[in-house]
Amino acid sequence: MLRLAARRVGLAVPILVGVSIIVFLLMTILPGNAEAGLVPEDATPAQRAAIRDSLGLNDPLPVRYVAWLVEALRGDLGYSLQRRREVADLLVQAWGNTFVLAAVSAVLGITLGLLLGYVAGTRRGTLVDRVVSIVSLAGLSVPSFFVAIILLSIFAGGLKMFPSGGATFDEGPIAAIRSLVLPVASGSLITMAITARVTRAGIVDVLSADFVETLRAKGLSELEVRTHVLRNAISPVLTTSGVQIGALLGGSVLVETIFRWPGMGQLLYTAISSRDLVVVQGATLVIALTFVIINLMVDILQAAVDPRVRGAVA
Amino acid sequence: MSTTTGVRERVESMSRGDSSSETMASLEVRDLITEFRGRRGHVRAVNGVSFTVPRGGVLAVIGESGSGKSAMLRSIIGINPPSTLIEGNILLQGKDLLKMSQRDRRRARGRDISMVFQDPLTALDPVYTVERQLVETIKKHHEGISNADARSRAIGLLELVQIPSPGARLKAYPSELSGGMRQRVVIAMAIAGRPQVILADEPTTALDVTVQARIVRLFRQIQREVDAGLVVVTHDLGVAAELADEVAVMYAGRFVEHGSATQVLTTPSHPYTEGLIEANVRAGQDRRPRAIPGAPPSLKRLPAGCAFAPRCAYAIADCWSAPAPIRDTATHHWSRCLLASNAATSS
Repeated sequence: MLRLAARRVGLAVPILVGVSIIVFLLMTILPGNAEAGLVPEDATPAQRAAIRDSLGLNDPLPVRYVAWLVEALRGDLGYSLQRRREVADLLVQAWGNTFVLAAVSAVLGITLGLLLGYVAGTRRGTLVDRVVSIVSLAGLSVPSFFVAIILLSIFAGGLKMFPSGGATFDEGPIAAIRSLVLPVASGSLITMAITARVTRAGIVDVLSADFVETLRAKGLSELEVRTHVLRNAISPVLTTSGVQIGALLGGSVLVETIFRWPGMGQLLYTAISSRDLVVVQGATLVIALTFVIINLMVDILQAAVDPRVRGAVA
Repeated sequence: MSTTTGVRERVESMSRGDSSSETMASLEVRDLITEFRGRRGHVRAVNGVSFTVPRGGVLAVIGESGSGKSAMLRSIIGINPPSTLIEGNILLQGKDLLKMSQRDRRRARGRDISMVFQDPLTALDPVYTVERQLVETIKKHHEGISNADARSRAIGLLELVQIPSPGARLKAYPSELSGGMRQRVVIAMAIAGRPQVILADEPTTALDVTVQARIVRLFRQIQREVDAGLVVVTHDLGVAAELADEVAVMYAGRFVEHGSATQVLTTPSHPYTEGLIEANVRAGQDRRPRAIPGAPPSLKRLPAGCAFAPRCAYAIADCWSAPAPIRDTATHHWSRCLLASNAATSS
């Protein structure tokens, strides 16, 4: 198990290097001059060249990549001229806000999804099953920004029960929790729907497996049988949950923008619209890193739960 | 009906001949009916089956796929879907399983009566180790047993089913074992509660031919060792011949012939049994196996007369009008055929 974890971590390293190369290259290929913001409009070509030279922009790509990577590893992702702040500071703050939103959304969505999927799967063909199927299909089909707008107009606009967003933990826990309600509701809906569907499918599948008969025939109670069933059905749920958590941590641009939640999504959105390339670069790197780490955790967790996965890797 | 009772009484009197009460019928099934009820009609998979298995006795039930053999075993142990209608009596040491509360019935499962399934590749939970699955079973049937004791008992069981280095095998997952090994584990699990009756549904069908013979021998040995009654469902006449004291032939939900293994397999008195034997492939034989023409009837629309008549070479007009009565053909041997005579030598 430990060896497997080590192997998986080892495998993640080349992926991370690849990600960093792509992120770095993207920024160098993109049109627009890095020095444009630093020199006055009427600067001579010679002056521009001097600036480029002093910034190291004329060095060969590999040299620039290594220099950038070393700085990035030391926590220096550059300085945003537009925002007049260190990119790393911006990212830490935005990531923290997104993390709160994502963690609450993920816990809520996955828990509810597991519960609904379990109930539906074990009562296959009943009314409960059909209701859950319809609800989860609807949750998947309706885009989260649409849900966000509907929730916003009902609960913030009409009923004025919750703020339309904005508050973070800087403004006290109660204000933060109140402003979390609507974004969490719209953000966790898809996670819940996907988790419910995958859980239901898994449980229905496992319940028809032969070994369930063996378990019943040896006298296990229904509860004990279902513990076995759930252990067997959990693997695909882990996979989709990993993807969902990754997506939530990457920051939902639309949901965060609609609720003015100062997270990764919003940071990325404003950075793109103001052509703040260093921020875009840093944010992309952090989001990619988040995905890789989440997937790594899912892989290890899956191997811990399912011996067949362990066998396939080792 | 009177004839079945006669058979049963004879079997019981045979058993009663022994002095110890342990030799009484450990499993007695009377007029068992299993009907799967669906929205598109009901299917009667088992249609009035009666038999008795004494302690230590082996009954083999043979027949084609879809004759109701598996449904019968599932009804006896009680793992059919809830919508299934089950009627009749299933007496385990005199107590009727069908009259027990759900809870008592569940408790009897695995402890008093257990089952070995057809496919050992899928009969074990793939994400639990052999140890966990065995210990879980042992703890279920031995209240208050410590983990260490349950574990050493699990090792004992694996030794009993002749698994080499059982201590190491405990740590294995089912996917790390061969088919034969897995079936041994399934058998170990089935005897963990020291049941009085073991049901086996095609226990060798999914195994390699070379492994089959070994598992059959093991079965015989184990069954004697734990002194349990065994009901084995198979379509392999070789398995039936090797294991069984008695053989019952099942067709369209009913027993059509029942007798001692030698009688049924060497002097069959029902044309269907004859057909099964003709269709059997045996090593070294010079004749080609002959298949029974046609297919078993749909259980939704059984013919008015003998269910086998449409496929039977000997069928006469009377066969089509009413179901054949039970006819004794020899002591402890009967056939559900109009043409069966007491002088069973005619076939």
